[in-house]
Amino acid sequence: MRPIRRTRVGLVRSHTTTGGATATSRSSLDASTLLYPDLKAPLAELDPTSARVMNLLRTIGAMSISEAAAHLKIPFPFVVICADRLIDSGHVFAKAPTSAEQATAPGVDVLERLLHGLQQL
Amino acid sequence: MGSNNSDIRSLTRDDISVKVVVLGAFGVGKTTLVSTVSEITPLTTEGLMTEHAVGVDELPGPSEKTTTTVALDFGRRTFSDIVLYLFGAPGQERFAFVVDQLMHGALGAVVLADTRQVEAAFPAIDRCEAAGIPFVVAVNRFDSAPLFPADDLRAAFALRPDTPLLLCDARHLASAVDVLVALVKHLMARRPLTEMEPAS
Repeated sequence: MRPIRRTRVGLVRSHTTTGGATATSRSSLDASTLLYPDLKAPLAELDPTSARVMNLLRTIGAMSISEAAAHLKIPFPFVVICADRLIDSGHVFAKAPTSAEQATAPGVDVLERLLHGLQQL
Repeated sequence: MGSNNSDIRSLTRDDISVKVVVLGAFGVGKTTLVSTVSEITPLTTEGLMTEHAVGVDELPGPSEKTTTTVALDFGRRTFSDIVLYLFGAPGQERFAFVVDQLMHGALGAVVLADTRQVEAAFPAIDRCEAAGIPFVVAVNRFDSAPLFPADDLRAAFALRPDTPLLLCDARHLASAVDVLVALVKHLMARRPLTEMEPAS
């Protein structure tokens, strides 16, 4: 099974997509950060790319930043920038991945649950 | 667009995500491993390379192009409330910027190797060691690839004694899962011993 390869239709300068932003204030947003849409927040004021992200999340449901980027055919750093804004405006709730440090902390059983899940496959 | 995955359950707020990065040279089977484990049709996203690629990926002739992209194949597998993301990423030095970002926040990494080109795995192993990220080395068995004793491979890869090394066939689920199980057990073994019973 081959992954779906995307072909570029046209070129857009990167800062056009993000409305001028080139970096985010949050360093924690990751390709595997999960995005959950607020189903009621108004979309009228959003820039076009952020609106596309919201429409996707509302249509398909919560997903990671990388999945949103693949569905929308835009590099994931751009979705990171949109997500950053959407969190600020309350459109999106984000959940960062569990790191190795967190997973090995005392009292955390993420690894046991992951191991159990893998062994059931 | 992965729309044939309608049987995949939707994610809830109780879910947590974990990320594993699959590193290795071109053609070593990263995408195959991701595809084998993934429950969704593997997707491709692009990371951006900027200044770090200058001089390596420069185009001939006058150009203002200062960014280029690197394709990342990824897949997903859900277990109860855990969503495992697997990202395949090139291990070469010139992709270091994107790959280091990807490794940040990862549970760990799988370095895929091929005995026909052992040295091609070195940059990926170096990246993991430099990032301080737990990893396992999985030698993907190709029909035409020579077999070597594990000790010889360990020596060739200059692995630390506690770094797991195993053979796999990235095309088969059971084998691909064994690699991930080895990684999770490796993580468990690294767990700090902080929960001592208080003396009474």
